[in-house]
Amino acid sequence: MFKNYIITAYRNIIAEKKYSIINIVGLSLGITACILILLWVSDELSYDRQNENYSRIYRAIREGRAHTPSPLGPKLQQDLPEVDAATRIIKDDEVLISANNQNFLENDFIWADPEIFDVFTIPLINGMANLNDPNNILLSESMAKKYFPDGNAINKIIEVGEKNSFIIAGVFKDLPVNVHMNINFLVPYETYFRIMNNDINNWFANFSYTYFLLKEGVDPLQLENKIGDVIDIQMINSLPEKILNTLQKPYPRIFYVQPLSEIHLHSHLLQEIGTNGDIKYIYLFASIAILILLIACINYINLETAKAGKRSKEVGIRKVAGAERKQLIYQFFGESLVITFVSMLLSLIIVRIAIPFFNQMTGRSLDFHFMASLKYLVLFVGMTVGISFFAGFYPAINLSGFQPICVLKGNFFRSNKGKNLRKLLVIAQFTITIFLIVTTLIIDKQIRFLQNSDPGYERDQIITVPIRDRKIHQTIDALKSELEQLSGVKMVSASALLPNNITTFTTAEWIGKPPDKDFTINYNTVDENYIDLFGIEIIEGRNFSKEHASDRNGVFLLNEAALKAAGFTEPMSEIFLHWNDKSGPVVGVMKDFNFRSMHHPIEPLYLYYSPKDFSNISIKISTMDYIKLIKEITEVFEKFSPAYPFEYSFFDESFTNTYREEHQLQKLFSSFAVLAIFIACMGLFGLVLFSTERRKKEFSVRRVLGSSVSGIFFIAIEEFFKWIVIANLIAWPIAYFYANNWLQNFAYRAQFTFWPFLTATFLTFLIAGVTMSLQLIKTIRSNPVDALKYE
Amino acid sequence: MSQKELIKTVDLIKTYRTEEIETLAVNKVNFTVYEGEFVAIMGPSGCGKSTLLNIIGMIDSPTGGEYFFNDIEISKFSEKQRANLRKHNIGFIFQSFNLIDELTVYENVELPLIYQKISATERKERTLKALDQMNMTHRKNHFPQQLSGGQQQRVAVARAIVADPKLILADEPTGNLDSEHGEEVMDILTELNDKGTTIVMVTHSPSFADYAQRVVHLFDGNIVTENMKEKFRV
Repeated sequence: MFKNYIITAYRNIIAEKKYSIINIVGLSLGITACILILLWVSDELSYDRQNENYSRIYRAIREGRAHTPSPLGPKLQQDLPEVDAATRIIKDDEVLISANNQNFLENDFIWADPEIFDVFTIPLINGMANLNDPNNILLSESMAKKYFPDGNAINKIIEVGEKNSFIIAGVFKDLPVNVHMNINFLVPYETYFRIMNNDINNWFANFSYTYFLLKEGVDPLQLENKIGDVIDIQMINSLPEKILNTLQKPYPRIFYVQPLSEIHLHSHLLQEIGTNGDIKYIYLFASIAILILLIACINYINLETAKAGKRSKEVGIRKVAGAERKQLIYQFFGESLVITFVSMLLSLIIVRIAIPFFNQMTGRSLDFHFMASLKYLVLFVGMTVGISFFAGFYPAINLSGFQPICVLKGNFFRSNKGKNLRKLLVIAQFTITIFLIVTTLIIDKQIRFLQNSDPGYERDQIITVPIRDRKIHQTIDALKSELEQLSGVKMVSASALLPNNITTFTTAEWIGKPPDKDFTINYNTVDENYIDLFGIEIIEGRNFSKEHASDRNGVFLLNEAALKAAGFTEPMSEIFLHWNDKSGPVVGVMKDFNFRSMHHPIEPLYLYYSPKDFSNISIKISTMDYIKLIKEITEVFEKFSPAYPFEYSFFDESFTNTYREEHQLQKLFSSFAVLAIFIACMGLFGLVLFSTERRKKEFSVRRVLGSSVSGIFFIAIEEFFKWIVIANLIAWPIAYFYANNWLQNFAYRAQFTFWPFLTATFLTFLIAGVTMSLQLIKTIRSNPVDALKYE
Repeated sequence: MSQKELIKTVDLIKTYRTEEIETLAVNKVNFTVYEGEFVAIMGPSGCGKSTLLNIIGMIDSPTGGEYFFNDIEISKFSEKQRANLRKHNIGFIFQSFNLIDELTVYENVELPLIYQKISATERKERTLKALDQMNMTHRKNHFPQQLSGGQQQRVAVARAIVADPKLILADEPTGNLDSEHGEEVMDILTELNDKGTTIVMVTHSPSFADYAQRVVHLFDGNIVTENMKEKFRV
């Protein structure tokens, strides 16, 4: 019997080529979207799972921040028996490595306690996992191959920075891509403090990450409370009396614990070790993939039930021949299974082709070998069965329900059964499509707004150079002067941070601060050219200046938000504090500018005059001959910092990169919107095809009676257009609600207009109109005699 | 001739209801068919012949009255019960042949056996036998559209007899055929009847009705006359 089902299914697919193509192409595209999103989601959910003790690994954090004090790790291990092992980690990027007489700038350079091997799974390939010796270093396999392509790296010596030699004690297997913290180098944590000459026991040395392994069966919440009872108290007791006195009792909770499983998708703290994913995008794109698949399934349901007139004869005959309804249901499921199976095969091929483009769009490096794992095989078989069941359910129930008596009466072809459902489903398809178009347009508008609105500083014609070589701090004046002598260079400034990404903050302190005026203030250390180079407006007082001898002792510029938060009425008479210890007068007030992305409102900020405290050099240029100028700038830097490779970027490009995530979102949304409208229009085309076939005789009679082609065309499309109008009415408020919600992520939003809505409406009418015209005009223009003769 | 009743209706009623009107298609019909009989039902269009045939064939249910098939009262049977009884006892032949376009001649004939869950070997044997009886074996791999009307009706007859039913119901089996092919079909039905199959046939044609042993005339849902042919009278 099964063979009979498959034969019928196959012959039906061939006999109804146009409908079959619409169904198969639609389902293939829908399944492709689903598989791509599924791969992405599965990659996102797989982060850090290579760790054997995945579910027992935790990270200690503070309120809103990932950095913890250096003494915390050992304290956890010593004072809490629930902790099996703890490791502190400091991560450095762009570290200068000299090996085999070559210099490299490398990322993911990790200073860690030896216990890192107890907490994380880092499989060793060669040598020993020994971080007890302060001069040991361990390399990832790819780094070892890079430096020593010909042989064993063990016991070879490499230089870190310019004068620190390390012996390669071991080589470990490269970590997979899906880890929240990649490791290329492992070096002893304590060595960092020795090199930097810092106190490792200082509770204020807040630049480490603390990871720990919990014993089996320990409740992390209980442990968190215990940390509060045991360790918070130790830290509080170590505070200077001045600060301790400002704290209100009961003392606030300092440390929290965060499971490793929540870091990649749920953690958005300041000072994260890398860029994390976001669970909300997982939900968003998983929903979109399902919606697109839904549109494709709706095509199947609509076309199959539309064909009911034709199929009813077969159903009747089969029933008369003895078929039970159950058997017919199986048969129709069999057909949807065949269609879905073919679509699945096609989509697997499309996914293979599309994956590089998808990776480009999402900034991922997903791989896809569908035969490589049983997991995929089971998944795709499951998807095929699931989709065929979902799409085939209604048609199977609907078609198998026909009574044989109706066949004998021959009145099925005129039946309107299922028409209301088809109407509803087309409305649903277009509602989804219009929603996606409106949302895409609103996202596009917001991104344009972000890029084009004035952040309060200049972005054009500025080259920025990150400074890693600490020696430049001694020669900064000479370096600046040489750069300024180059023709095409207008001005040079050294600063800790660039004005688009000021992330450092502290508690605002000033002389005479009232106890109720506690607030957090962001800060940046800059030289006297920073304000002019970036065109930041001073609205009161003056800029920093070399001419004022007193500025050398440290002076402040505050922004308007800081003034407001502090309640200053005469800011120029206030003495402010940098890091609670360096005091100096406020010499001017800056107009507020967006020193982070426009997601954030403008917060209080001070600039502290400290020309020697920088990690970026910004160069304002006035030439179009970039190639020549960059060559000259490179030469200057190579002279002052010969060991470090020269790197630069254009400030306007880094500004654009601030909204990289939104760009990706926009690209994905627009691609999915195009896909959705394409599949929906294919379905519409199928329905029009069906409807014109049915109405051929009506059109012919109308033409014989004198109606024009356009007159009949409008009669034919009227109904479909009505559906699209209804879809618009439903989609508009949903899209408005969603877009409005998304815009809440931004402190600054593009002005709300109806244009995205009207454009989406226009687009859907246009595309649907063109789709329908393709078939309708052909049918209407055909010789009416043919249809009448046929009838 | 055996006098066992195969079909018996008692005050059988069938009404169709639309929003505005109620039509009485079969009006208190009392009708009996004995095993081995060949009965023709005649009457003008809309008199209820096909409705009566559909009820007898269990593809429609009566609104009132009783219907005994092989002494079992089935007017209150569920659709599933009727389907089950039908597939083991009744074969159908229609005016418009009603073959499935997507199946070959062989597959069309095989269909009733599939739904009776008969083994593949037996199915093959019986299908080929039925095709042979109808002289259609050489066309077994063709699709219905590739055949003439007469050939299609022969396939439909093969499908009706393949499961060896007690009763064959033929609804104007010659309606779409020219007289030559029409006679050919009637000869086949007569031959089947001679071998013991009971046949009830609806027809407009008095000459084809002549093939039957008994002719029942219907008018406005009522049996108005019943003529037993002289040669068949006991």
